[in-house]
Amino acid sequence: MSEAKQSAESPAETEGERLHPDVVAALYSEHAVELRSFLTGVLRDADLAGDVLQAAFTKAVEVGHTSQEESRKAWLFRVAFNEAMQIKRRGRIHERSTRQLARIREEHDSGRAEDEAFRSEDVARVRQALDVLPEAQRQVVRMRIYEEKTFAVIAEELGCPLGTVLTRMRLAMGKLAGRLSDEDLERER
Amino acid sequence: MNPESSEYEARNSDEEATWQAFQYVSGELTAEEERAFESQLAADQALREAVASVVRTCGAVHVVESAPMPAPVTTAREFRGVAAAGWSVVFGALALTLVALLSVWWPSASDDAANIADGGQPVEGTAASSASPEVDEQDVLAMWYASEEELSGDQILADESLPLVDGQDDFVVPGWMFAALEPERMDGMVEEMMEEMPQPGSTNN
Repeated sequence: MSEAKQSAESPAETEGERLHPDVVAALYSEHAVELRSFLTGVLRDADLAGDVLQAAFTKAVEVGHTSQEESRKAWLFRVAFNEAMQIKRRGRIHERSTRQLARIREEHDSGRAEDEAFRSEDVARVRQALDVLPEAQRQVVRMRIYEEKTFAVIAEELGCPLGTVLTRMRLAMGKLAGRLSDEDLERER
Repeated sequence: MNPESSEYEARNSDEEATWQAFQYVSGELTAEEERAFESQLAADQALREAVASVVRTCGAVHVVESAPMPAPVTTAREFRGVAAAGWSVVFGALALTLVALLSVWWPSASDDAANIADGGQPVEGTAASSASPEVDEQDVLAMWYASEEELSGDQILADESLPLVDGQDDFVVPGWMFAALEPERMDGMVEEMMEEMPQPGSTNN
């Protein structure tokens, strides 16, 4: 038995050759929402993301005991990503649309019941972050994400160079996503 | 290494990761750029988390932008609350006024009714009559006249501590004070006042 395997298999965590169901349940509770979001970003399909999420946790039950506890989140994401890429390569995603954001929205709207509290927290934080954005940045965010316009169209409508629009969007996304990351870090503490 | 510069680099790195993730998620990358990004995703957990964060952010932005703010409702509620409080004050004041008027009118009316039933006249000066109905009007007048005689007869005021003002020795109770208690004298004063007033038809010209 390797050192890594020995360190991962503490008596409280394993049940025979598998992770203890309580450990898997805790993993799901802690990471499922974030993992589902990641998979939606990769696959751009809410149903497929749900399927891959289940597959990833099935693997966690079967072979999760081979991973180290301190890097189990990264292990889970890597397993899910590999599963998602296999599906992509098999050509199960036929449509490659430029309107992926609409699918992300659908995924967000049709979330599972246990994700609702998580989502409402996200909405509250993003609302606060949007309120303090400069109006020029918020306008670009609204036009790109909510109105689903391309950056070229936004630049034309605002009468700005494309580079200016991209810069505004980049700055705004940094602030908005940073707000969520900061809150996640505080929650983990 | 300077901690401030390392923090700046970390923030810049986070912002770069978020931007790349947004471009990937929103389909801004070419096929080649996308493949390169996915090969990074296979090894970089921070980049995977950036993708998840961008997806959550975009979903939340959509919800925020599509939902109106509830602030006007709150303002309307507050206004209704203030208006209700204002009306409560007005109605309360009206109720107190009504109670005060009733408390003055009710004993007077009952005393008048009792006097009339006994064959007498309604008593004027409701407060005094309700406080001591057995005191006669003539007794009150006698008390006033006695006090007037005391003052006119250089009697010392009961309260010697009060400072005397020049000319107070010849103080005389004005007639209008007695007129309030003596209706005949009051009628005479009113007639004199009416005579002294200029008539509507008469002009100085």
